[in-house]
Amino acid sequence: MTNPDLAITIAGVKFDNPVMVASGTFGYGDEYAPIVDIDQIGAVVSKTLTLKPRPGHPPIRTFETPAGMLNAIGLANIGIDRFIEEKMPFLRTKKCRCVVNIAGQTIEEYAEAAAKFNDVPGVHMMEINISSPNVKKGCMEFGSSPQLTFECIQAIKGATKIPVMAKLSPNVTSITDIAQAAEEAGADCLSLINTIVGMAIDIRKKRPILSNITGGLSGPAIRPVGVAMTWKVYQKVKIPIVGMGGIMNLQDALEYIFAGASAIQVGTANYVDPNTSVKIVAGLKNYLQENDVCCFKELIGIAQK
Amino acid sequence: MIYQANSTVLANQKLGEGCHKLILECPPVAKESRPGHFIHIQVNPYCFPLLRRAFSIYDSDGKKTLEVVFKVVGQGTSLLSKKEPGDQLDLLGPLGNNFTELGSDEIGIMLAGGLGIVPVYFYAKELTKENAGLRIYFLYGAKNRSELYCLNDTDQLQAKLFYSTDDGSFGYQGYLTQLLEKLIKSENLPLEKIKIYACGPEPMLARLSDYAVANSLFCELSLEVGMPCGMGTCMGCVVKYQPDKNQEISYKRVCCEGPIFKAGEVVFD
Repeated sequence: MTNPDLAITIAGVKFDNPVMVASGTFGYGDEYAPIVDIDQIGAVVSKTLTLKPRPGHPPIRTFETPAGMLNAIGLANIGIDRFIEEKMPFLRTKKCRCVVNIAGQTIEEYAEAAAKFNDVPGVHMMEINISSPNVKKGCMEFGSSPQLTFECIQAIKGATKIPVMAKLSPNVTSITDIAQAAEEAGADCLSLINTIVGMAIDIRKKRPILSNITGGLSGPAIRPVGVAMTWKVYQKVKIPIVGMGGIMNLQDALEYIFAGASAIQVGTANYVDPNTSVKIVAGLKNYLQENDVCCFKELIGIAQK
Repeated sequence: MIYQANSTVLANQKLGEGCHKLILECPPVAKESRPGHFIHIQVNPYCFPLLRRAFSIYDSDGKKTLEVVFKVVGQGTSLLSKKEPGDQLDLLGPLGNNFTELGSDEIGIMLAGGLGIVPVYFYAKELTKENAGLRIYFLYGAKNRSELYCLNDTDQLQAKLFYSTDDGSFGYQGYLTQLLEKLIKSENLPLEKIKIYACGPEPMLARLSDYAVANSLFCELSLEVGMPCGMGTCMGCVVKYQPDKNQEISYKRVCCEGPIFKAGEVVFD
């Protein structure tokens, strides 16, 4: 197979390849431009954006743990208006798809945030953060209840025609119930998993390390959790899944894809090697060639068959 | 310009108990390295420890090589301390901002506390090279003599050298900030001509910051905090920022809005 097809269409949006960079780990896209050829990536997912700018939590915000890290940034961001004005012009010059990630404190705020992008050229998809564990109001508050997930996604779908990807939390009793609620509400696709609630204590100071006390655990430590949840959700919904959680290389990406992910996101690995996503794209192409697979789509969920 | 580039370890010199100097060959990063910059080193190709480690640049020949000096404090630095000539390390850099220039009629005072010598030495070396004619005072302090790891290098600087140790085992007994106050008085230095460049433990920087603000001294502090990305994306390495006490505290990323801040801008807890 000389030229395998890496393209994937999700919710009517065609991605050149199934490798995205995860929200919060790639800034607004321009920061890594000096060292990463963003045109090679399937999509850049923006840092979570809110109607008004947010300063985020006081330090300390991050802490390294075995094969992972905790973060409690607190959705620090420049706000949707500044993002559209200052960051979208750069993203529009790129070949890759642009996914904006949004959050709010109320269902009305989510819908209003979504509507802000209706007339913005170059926004291909919207990822809904109903899963960050690090804020008091909004996010995981909605994403941990099937009913609130349904209401939130339904309100957003009513406010925008941009395809909607609901980003789900692993910190729930049944992620499949949440996934089905999102699907019923009209979500075009799902992304999972967000970080797992965790905590570290400074034993010298006898105090929690993070100012927010708890944070979200990410990195290779959580990959088996993400793969299992992708597997379970794939069996319960018809809409596509974008898998993430601890993907460091092609092998990790393939686990998610074989479990049922139509695309994957690279998160914490960007901090270790900013070119991880570019390397996974190249590795995936080689893999398809070596295994005589004509197109990437054939790999999705093959461990389930 | 920032690069992600492979470097080769040329030498690993032990400067004292648990303190190492790594000399790395990495032309793209070396060419762009300026005093104040840091590099982000991938210490391990595996998953534990996971994140890169940030190191201020101690020296660079501006062509091929650069140097870092560090103390073993955890797993990342422990791995680095075992590197041998020929080993490869992935670098991101040079990152961060630089110290402000020193005018020909100004007086530069460098304050190096412990391993905080790293960025300060790089700048002192540049300011004192080739008979630049600048008036430079270099104050270097540590807990005790054995922790003044870089004495052999500082002795070569064409600057007025002053040393301090907490226990009095070398030079002035006391804090660097006390030594600074003493120096300004004894040399009768005009405050408005002084530019202070400092790096060191947080308590030292906090004391220095208060002293500089109280005396309206120009003073720059290079900060060290843990930073996951080093490129401004993760928002994880922030410090409290409040240059105007009438305004609310905001946050600045040390990796890309620092690591150098002016005294009085950063709130030390």
